[in-house]
Amino acid sequence: MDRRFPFKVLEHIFSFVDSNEDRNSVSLVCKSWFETERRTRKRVFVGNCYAVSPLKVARRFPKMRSLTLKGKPHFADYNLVPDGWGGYAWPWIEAMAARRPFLEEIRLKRMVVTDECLEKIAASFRDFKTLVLTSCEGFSTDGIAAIASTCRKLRDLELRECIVDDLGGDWLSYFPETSTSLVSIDFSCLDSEVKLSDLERLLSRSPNLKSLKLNRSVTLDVLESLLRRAPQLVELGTGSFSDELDPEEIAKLTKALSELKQLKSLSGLWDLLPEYIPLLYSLCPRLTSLNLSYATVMDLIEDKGLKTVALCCKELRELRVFPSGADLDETDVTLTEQGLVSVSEGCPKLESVLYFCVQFTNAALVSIAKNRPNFRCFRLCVMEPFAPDYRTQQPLDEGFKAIVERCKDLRRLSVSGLLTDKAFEYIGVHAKKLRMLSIAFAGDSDLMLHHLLSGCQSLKKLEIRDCPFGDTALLENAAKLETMRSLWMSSCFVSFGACKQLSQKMPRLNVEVIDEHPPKTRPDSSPVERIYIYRTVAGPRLDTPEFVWTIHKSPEVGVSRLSIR
Amino acid sequence: SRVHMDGQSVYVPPLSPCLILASHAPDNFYLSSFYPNFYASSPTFIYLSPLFSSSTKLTNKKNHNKNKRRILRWKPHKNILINFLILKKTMTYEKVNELNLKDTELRLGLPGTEQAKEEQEVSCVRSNKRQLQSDNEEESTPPTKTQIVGWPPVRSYRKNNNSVSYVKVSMDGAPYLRKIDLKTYKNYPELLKALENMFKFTIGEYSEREGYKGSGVIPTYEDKDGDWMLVGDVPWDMFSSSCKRLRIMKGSDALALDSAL
Repeated sequence: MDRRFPFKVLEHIFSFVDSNEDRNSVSLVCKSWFETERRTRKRVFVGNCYAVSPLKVARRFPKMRSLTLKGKPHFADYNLVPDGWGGYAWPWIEAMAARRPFLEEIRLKRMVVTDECLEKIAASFRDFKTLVLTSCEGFSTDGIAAIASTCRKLRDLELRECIVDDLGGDWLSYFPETSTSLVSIDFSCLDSEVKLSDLERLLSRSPNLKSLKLNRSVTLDVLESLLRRAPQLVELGTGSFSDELDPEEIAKLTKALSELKQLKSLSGLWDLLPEYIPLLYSLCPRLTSLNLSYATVMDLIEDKGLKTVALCCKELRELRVFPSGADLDETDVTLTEQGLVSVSEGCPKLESVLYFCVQFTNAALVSIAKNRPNFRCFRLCVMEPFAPDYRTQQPLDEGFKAIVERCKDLRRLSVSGLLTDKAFEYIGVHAKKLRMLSIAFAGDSDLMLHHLLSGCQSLKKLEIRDCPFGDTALLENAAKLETMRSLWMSSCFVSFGACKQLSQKMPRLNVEVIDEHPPKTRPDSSPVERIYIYRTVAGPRLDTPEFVWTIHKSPEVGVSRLSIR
Repeated sequence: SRVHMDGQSVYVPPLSPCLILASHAPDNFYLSSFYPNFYASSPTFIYLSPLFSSSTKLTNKKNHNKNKRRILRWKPHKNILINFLILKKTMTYEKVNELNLKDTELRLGLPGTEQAKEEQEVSCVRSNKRQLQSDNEEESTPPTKTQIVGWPPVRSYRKNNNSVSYVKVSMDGAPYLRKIDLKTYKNYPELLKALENMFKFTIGEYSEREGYKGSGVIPTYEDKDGDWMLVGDVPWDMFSSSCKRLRIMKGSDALALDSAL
């Protein structure tokens, strides 16, 4: 008698399993569970586009409706990955267009997307609904126009921090007059002006619009007219916030803002003038996300400003404070660690922080950890490399120890300031749920890396720059690397010989050396400038540029660079 | 790369830490350094601890010499006679195909040996304490911005656009600082008019000899070297490229300067 659950029953049960991590576990149980799971998975997430081939993914998940891909390493955001490294979306789009025409959602991060890709998407996926491009590049507003005009059921069009060849604001007019399905639109990274009338009409006919993120060229005087047409917004990114308004306009804008009863997230605010801040007060009590990174005109956010945030924004969940260029020159620093301490005291739901500051203290970190044990993401950038606690001149080891000890749910951590190996011992011991860790200018020796790789059980992404360690810890913990998505190390002391050894030891890792000189011409002991190591079942990739070398598995060959242009 | 010391050149092998002893020099010894687009991102560190003498600390406010040299204001280390120079360098990938050694040249020399007109910024990274001898006391922090690739880790499109150049404007007695984009003005009259509107004041008439007479309001600016200068003395282009911030002085300070000018 067949003791297995009928396929239909399994399928029904699996339909309740949402998270991809759970689905991945489910698919490992046995062959029939693997088969059932793969036939029912709708949302596919590939954290590293080179970890698996597009064809395999397309074949494995016939019911795929949503695809999320990530390309370049995170440090590409800071110019540490040279242009042309890779991360091309085209092979994926092509494969899906041919095999999965019912795909509805594509989300890409740090990938090279061309107009050709966008036109292919528009032409191939009939029910296409969602396009979210984060930190992508390689396309122009023509590609966006193709999406807008052809995808009849488009719901989400979000360009987050992309580098776009901006040929003008016409693309907005390509949304057909009949399209009423829009739920979110984000064109904040574009430069050119869109026509106000196009925008107004689009908003008027989009009753489901929940998220609107304008670009800088949308001026303050027109904001009121836009908000009037979309009072149901949950997320708003304003345009420029600096025009001179007369009292009547101010009154109308205040009213329009106060009508946004469901608003939870506020961003944009380019060139925010201080006299306009009171206009935003009515929104604060409900805000869960506040992005003031473009409000740089006044060096607005100082400790005083953050104190006010702490008093008013009781629902705040995420805070990011960026430096203005002047911060680096300033002698009279007005944004200090006190700002973050205030916010951690006053905002009970705060769970994600990105904070740039010139200097910090252990005491502040300990306070922050005590106040907010619920942090999931804590990224502190003390901008002076190797800066100790400025009051005690001690390393910031004890401060970060408090953070990892108390914040048991910490998933993401960026450390900075003067740190010894001890800090990383603490992280290895306590940060059991940590998935992503970023380190720069820290540590004393190989022990640092060893603590991390042997201690942090959940570690998936580790990125390190300018730290003084190398081969031993890497080779000793080689097996760990296969449990992680990727490891980036630049300006450390990893030798070419160690890279070769690692690659030979671990067949399912791609060990990529990024270097302007061919590593073959140098002795094994010479340090390698940048390495990027990631697990993969797809073998060495075929699209490497001339400065990337994948270390071959067989010792005689050394490095290989297969390249098909 | 090559390091010139007292007219001699010394080869510094790449990718290796090295120590060069710079001898204690008399007054007026100064340091000129890398071109502004020098980046450092490798494990070998450069740490500059130059000497300076208090007699050469500040230029006269009225010294608008185009070939102004850079005076460094670091405190010399208290108890060492020898200053250490540890080089940190590598090329960035922005220059992958053109290995430009001149960019990484570090020159030490006496005043007057300076050839180039270009503004040169001191570029250095404070080395990891443990890399130096552990009995070295901590130096005071380098006065100028370090130039390291990808640091601080902010996405480049967030950083200053080349098409805007914001400078802070403060006015004595005004509650708020303002920022203006210098690129939106083509000359001094436009700038001054904008400032007048912004802060609601009128400025006296400018003359090269006498400065701004009559209103008790003096516009000053801080230039790239950290010196405070009078707005209007140098040609507009030179001003707009070197102005870092503006300060509009008022009241008794201004009057005193007014009469002194």
